[in-house]
Amino acid sequence: MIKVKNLTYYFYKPIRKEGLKGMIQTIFSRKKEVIKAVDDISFEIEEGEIVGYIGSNGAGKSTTIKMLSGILTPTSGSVTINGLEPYKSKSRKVVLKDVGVVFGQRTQLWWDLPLIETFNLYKDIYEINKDEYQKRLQYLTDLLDLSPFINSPVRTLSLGQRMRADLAAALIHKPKILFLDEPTIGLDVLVKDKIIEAIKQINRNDKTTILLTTHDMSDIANLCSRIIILDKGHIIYDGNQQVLKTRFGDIKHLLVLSEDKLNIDKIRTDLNNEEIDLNLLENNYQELSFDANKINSKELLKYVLDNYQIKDILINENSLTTIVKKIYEDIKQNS
Amino acid sequence: MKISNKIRKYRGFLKGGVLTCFAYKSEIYMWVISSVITTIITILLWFSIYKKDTTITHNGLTFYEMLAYLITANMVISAVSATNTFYELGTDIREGKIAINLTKPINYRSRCLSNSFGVLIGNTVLVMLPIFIISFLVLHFVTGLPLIKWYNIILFVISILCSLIIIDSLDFIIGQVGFFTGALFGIILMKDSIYQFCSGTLIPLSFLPKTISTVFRFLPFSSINETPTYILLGFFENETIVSQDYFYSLTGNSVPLTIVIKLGIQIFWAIALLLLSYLANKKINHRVVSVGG
Repeated sequence: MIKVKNLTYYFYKPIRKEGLKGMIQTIFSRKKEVIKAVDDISFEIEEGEIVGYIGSNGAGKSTTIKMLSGILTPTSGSVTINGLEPYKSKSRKVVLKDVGVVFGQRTQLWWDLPLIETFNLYKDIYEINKDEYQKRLQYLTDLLDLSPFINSPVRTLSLGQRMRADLAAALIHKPKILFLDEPTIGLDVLVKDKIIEAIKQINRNDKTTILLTTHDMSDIANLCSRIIILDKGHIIYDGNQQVLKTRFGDIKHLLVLSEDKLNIDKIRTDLNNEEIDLNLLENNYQELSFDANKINSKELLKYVLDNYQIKDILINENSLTTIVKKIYEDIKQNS
Repeated sequence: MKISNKIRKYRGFLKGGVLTCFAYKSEIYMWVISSVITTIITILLWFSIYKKDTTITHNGLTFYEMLAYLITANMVISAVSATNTFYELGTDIREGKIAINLTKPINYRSRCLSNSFGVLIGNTVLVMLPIFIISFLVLHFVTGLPLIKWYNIILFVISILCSLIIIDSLDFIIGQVGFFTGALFGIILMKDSIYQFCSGTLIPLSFLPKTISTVFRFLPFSSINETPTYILLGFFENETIVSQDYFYSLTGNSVPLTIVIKLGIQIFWAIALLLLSYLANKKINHRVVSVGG
């Protein structure tokens, strides 16, 4: 479906100097620095997959999406969608008919006009026939709960309403491929859930292939089985979410509320594992962290219950957020 | 793809252009008010130029004909320059909204142009036509200005569409400069002063040195306003008025040929600039730079 091969995008930025003198120098200077926004990446996405595309700010995520959706032409390498390159002027219009894009930070809705006008406009642009359009519009209106504001001018919508409308606008022509660039940015929990649910349903019903960038790991955890992690234009991980967890340590945390002080040295020797850690948390819980691949949680739980007087006990899994944070930190230390 | 299908794709933008004219009520009032004020000021100005004597002529026009010209010309220029291609392109570039436009299977230039047609229609119906009809009828009954003939209306529509395409294409091409500079405001000032100077709005072209004014008469600017206005009011049928035109003596004193040449220059520029603007559109993709990773 989507093939990305040795994709590279460089852009040139004039070197600016500080202050008034620097500004004047910049005007006449031809010095430029090369920014490698995306540097030789390759991957393939199959039909119906939902792929999370993550990376710290400036990692090259949006640049990749822009090349995939035909806005930017790669410096070298290629993107093909169903065998066609979206940034070539000849194939552009054909490819883009199957593509829907949402940029969370920018709207594609007609600002001064009622929301419905944007949908009508897209009906013409994508040449959707009348019956199909009505059906699709009804489906999306129900799915994203658009009816309360479908006749209001877009400029009067709240961010949550606008985002739902933006998603609907990207889906009105039943695209086979959907690119979402931070679709949940700045939204409250309820709207976010609604959007996540809608994306899931669209993927299930229409077999839509989805590539999603976000900084919110709960989006990824809820939606994507596959994750691609990007850093400084390079892919540093491409694979299953579960595998990511084992690879970067499947750390679990046992939280214990007890009058007794846990004896970490004794626990380590009794269970024959030196890697168990103990932390005292602010809410008086004592946290035992352990690698779930090396110690059975049942075993540890039994040991604690047998040896201490326990008021309360919880088990937390290491979240995707902590893993990704750890990966970003590792990268920062290594560079 | 059939041409009718191609046009249908852009129908929505035309409609949207019309509808945006209705979007802000206060904006409509401001348009009407500013239009009326500008007209009154120019009338007073020319009244003093004619030294309150309504029988003498300037450029072959009597005072009342001059009034009709000013009112109509004001309508034409307001209608064709109300298009927002320049600002839209500018803000699309500055705010990075151009990106989202490029993800649609449409031609960005055609999109801007059909939107401008919509704005022209909306603006004409909403503001310009009512003002024009009222002031024209007043002039007709008070001064005996002849009524407008049907064939002049047809020619006028062709001419004003050419004016729109000329302005819109120039705006589109110049607006692209925003891609490298980001200095939209400066470009707007520069653009407006060039338009005004070259079209003779600032100083009448006949005041300029002969070679320069001759060149300007062949440029697209001079005809944006004058040609449609002259056509609509039937001034081209009035030998005294036409005889003042630069092209009159050039065509061996033939009135019909003068009109053909003036309309021809407009059509030539409309086509040439339209093609150029499509060419410029092709370059847009190469100029969109990556903003943020």
